[in-house]
Amino acid sequence: MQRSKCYSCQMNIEFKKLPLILKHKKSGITDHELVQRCINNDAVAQKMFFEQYAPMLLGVSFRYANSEAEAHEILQIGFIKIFNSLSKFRFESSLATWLTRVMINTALNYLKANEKVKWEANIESIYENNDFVVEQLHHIDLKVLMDCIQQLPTGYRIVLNMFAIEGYSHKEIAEELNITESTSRSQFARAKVLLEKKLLTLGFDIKRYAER
Amino acid sequence: MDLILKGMQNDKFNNILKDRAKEFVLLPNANAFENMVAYRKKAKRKRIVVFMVFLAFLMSFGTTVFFINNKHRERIESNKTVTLKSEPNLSNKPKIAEKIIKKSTGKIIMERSNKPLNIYKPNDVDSAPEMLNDIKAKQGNLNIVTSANEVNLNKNESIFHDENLQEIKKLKVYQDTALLVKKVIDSNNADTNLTDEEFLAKAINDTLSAALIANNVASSKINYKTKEPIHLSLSVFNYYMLLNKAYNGADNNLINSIFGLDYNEQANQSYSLGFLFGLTRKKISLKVGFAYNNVQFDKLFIPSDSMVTGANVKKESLVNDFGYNINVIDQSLSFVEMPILLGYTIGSKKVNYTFETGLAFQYLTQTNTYLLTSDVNGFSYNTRNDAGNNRFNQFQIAGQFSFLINYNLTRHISIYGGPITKFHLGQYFKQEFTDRSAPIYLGLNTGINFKF
Repeated sequence: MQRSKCYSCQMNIEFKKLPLILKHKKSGITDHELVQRCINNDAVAQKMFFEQYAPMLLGVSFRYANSEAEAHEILQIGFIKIFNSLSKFRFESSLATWLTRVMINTALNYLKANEKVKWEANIESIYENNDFVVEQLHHIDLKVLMDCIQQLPTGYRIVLNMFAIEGYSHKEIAEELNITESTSRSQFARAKVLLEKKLLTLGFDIKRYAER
Repeated sequence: MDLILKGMQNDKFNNILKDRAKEFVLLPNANAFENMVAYRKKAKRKRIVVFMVFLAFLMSFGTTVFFINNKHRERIESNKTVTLKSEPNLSNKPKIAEKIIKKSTGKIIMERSNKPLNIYKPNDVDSAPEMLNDIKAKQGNLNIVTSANEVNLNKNESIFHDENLQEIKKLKVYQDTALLVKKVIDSNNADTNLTDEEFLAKAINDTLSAALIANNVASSKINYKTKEPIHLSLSVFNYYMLLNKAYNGADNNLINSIFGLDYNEQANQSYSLGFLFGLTRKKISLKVGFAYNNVQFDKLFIPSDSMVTGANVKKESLVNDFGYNINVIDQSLSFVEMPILLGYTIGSKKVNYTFETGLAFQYLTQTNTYLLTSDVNGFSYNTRNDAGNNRFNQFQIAGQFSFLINYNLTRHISIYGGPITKFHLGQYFKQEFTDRSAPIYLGLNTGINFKF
């Protein structure tokens, strides 16, 4: 049996099987220690790291991708980037924020490389702030909501994600995507309208879900 | 008011969406991590291959440059015209060239009172009259060589006349220069590599050859002053690793206390065979090569229920009497490696000293495990090949440093020997065995070097 001291608590633990280590690590290892071990190419730590952050990051990539399969592909590319550049992370922001940022950039690069995104600048319809939709956003099933977002056209989806969810300003989005600010605004407005329509078509289900 | 309300509702929409999106997580596929690791490894291998191809390209380029350079040198040396065994006595002779010295490197330099004679570049047409003036001023009562078969010393006939200066062409200048050189040699009764006929045939009958001679004399001088040639060398070496200190595993303390055995892993039969191609300029050398490494771990104790469980091992009295499930194994590793070394040489021509340092990129090709098991009948060995399923990383990088004493047997062949130390960089063992430290080697490096 391989015995070694834990990085975190200096206890002697058995490094025989992965579940043992995971069980132990969940009780106390910090992000800093985990990152440090990943930088040292510790396969066990890398797996722990993956298991800890992959669900969250897959959620991020899912919102940007056209399909779930594409989201998994983006996740894989993103994690390769993360492991390759983990040594550059200086803990100046939270690890989750940094990882999300890397995953967003990966998703954007992936979408740019794999499809021609149409950016339409003119606003044809304006979001009317349907109170019902806003309220029901609380109650709708999360997977259904994310599916609705995923079904939006790529340009709308990207801007909606970046503006409404990630909190980018239109100026930042314009710089990131190499479009104008007005284009970003119009994309966001149209995205909201389309999302609202999609949610309203599910209105019956939403109501039923809310009543439960 | 409407706008404010709309704005608030927009914010509300965004905030709700944001909060809900943050909650959203999805479980990746069961083998997502393994796929990602495999992809990373593949990418890493690809980078190594690209690096190797790049190195191969560099080697090819270096070799091509060397051969072009060498061909040029050979051409110069094949046309060399003057070799003097002793310094000529010029006390009563014309002072155009007081010394013609063949340097040991095969280069020719003409000197006058420790100052080089002005020799002009062949394409420097404008300098021709100037050169002639220079020669004329120095020639005194020199005489001309008029025929390929005889050397006539017509005292009143000078090579260069004022009225002809403007009409003398570039090639004629070089021909005359060559003739003057020959004249000095002849007048001093010195030995030459070439017979008179050969020399004069080049100098008089073949104007281009004469130009080439002068050209080469000039370029030889320039080369000698400014440019050091690049040498290509092939080195065949063999490391014998004398000492190899490896990890001290925690479990082995126990085994040591029970059996009184040395619990260190020691590689007492390590060796490495290989060859290196090198490019040397002045004191700096760059070598790239290929080698085969074998490391024999001796007396390695591992728990029976870890990686060797699959082997057909009988755990009998040795194990049960002491109540510990252990096996005793010997393990031998084989690597192929590509060393890249940078060297700096100091010392004399016969004996010199080289400090070499660099990296060796290693690839694990074979791992043989010999399991020593015990039962009531005694000890027995089982062998199996563990390549691809062992404790050691497939790709390794080792740093090495050596001090070599070179003894030059001839101009082209030298033998060398000296201590070498080698240490693994990065992970030697796989991640599951990170508590173990990689071995450090100290050995004797011997070899023979061919310089072209």
